[in-house]
Amino acid sequence: MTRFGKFPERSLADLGREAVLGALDDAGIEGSQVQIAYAGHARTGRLHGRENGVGQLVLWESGIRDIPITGVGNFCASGSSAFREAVFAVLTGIYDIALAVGIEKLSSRAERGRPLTSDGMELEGEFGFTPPAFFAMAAKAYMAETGTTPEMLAAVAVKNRRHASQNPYAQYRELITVEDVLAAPMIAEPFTRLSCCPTGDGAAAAVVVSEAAAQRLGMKRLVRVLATSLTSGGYRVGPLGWFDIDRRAARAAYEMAGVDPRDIDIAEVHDAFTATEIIHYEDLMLCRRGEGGRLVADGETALGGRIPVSTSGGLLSKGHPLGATGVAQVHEVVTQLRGEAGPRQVEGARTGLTHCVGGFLDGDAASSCVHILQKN
Amino acid sequence: MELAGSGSVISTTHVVTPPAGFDKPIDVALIDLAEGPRLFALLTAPAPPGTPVQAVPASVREGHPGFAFEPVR
Repeated sequence: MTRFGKFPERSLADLGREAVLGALDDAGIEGSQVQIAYAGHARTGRLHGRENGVGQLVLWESGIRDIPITGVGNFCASGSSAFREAVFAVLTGIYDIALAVGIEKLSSRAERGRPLTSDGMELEGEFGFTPPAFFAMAAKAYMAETGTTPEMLAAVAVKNRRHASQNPYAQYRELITVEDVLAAPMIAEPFTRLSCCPTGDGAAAAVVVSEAAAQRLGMKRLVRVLATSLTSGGYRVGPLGWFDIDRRAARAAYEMAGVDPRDIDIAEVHDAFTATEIIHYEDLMLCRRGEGGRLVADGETALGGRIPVSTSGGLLSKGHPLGATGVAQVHEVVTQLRGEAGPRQVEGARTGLTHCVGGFLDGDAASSCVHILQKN
Repeated sequence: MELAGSGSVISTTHVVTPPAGFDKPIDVALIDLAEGPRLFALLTAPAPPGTPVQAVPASVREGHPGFAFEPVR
């Protein structure tokens, strides 16, 4: 993957090529050996006039041609969904070497300093809808119900920044304190600027192979995909402050993997906002309802804790170039499971989870995607 | 379904950094309408969860004519 950040001088093709060549090099294969590819991107149409064809562009720039390539647009879960498609391609038995790439370049958008909007929310946008405003309301409902405090929310940003300080790929690496988070400019109460993930640019890629191909090619350092799970919203009017869509995605993933939530050693969760990381601990069944705030305040989800979450720095500090995020989460979990994460290594990590959720429809999220990976 | 425009605040936030098209902070809320649907909408004034509200004419993004919800006293 590329480093995440704001790179106005770099193109989609340039970012994507670095990620693809990095993944091929890591897998020890040539571009000509890739049989099928999927490219996740969410804003390239609006920002770069490329709603389609980003995958073809990036792969051609990487020297790959004459293969099936499909663009995957699924909001913030575009990268996760591209990875899932690559897994499916191999599961069909028709292909045994697939590639997933996620790319995004948000630094060129005109509304700098303003929150991102979301596809399909034009009507709500007339009334000021933005993701931070929506999740701020969910956070307030959650805090009122569970007694979770603003300091507990801020602890998420502090933890993820501390993790990012050990990750050379992260967008923001300078340490911050709870006081810094609480005193940063307000976006939508209770979220300050440091409670919200930044926008940025970046790309990530992953090679997915069958067992037979791995053996044939003599690949080492393998990580097994135990489960892939994707679901859409239920669009039900229900209690605010927890996310049924993520619970359903997680439950399906645990069932497919045949593992218990207690077996998860590390997780990259969709921490677009501080409060949502806490709520997702519960959605992903890493703790019981209402215990998420205490989990982070007690350091249980920090490096060295019981279940380290977002060891990469997460969306909050590693950054969130939409389509790249899901593949970058896979990159982090694979790096951890291989024992190659250096100063942020979680000792003995054997099973890891990634989680991305994106988009809005009728008061619910539109897509939630969970993967469970295990050291081979 | 005909909507009378009355409902109740479920949750609300004060948006200090609004999206493009708004030139000052806004208060927004999720509102459960009397008829059942839940709506994302502007408030004319801050109103905590549980406050009964009524839709009134108000300007929305870029000053376009629309509606916002007013707390019922």
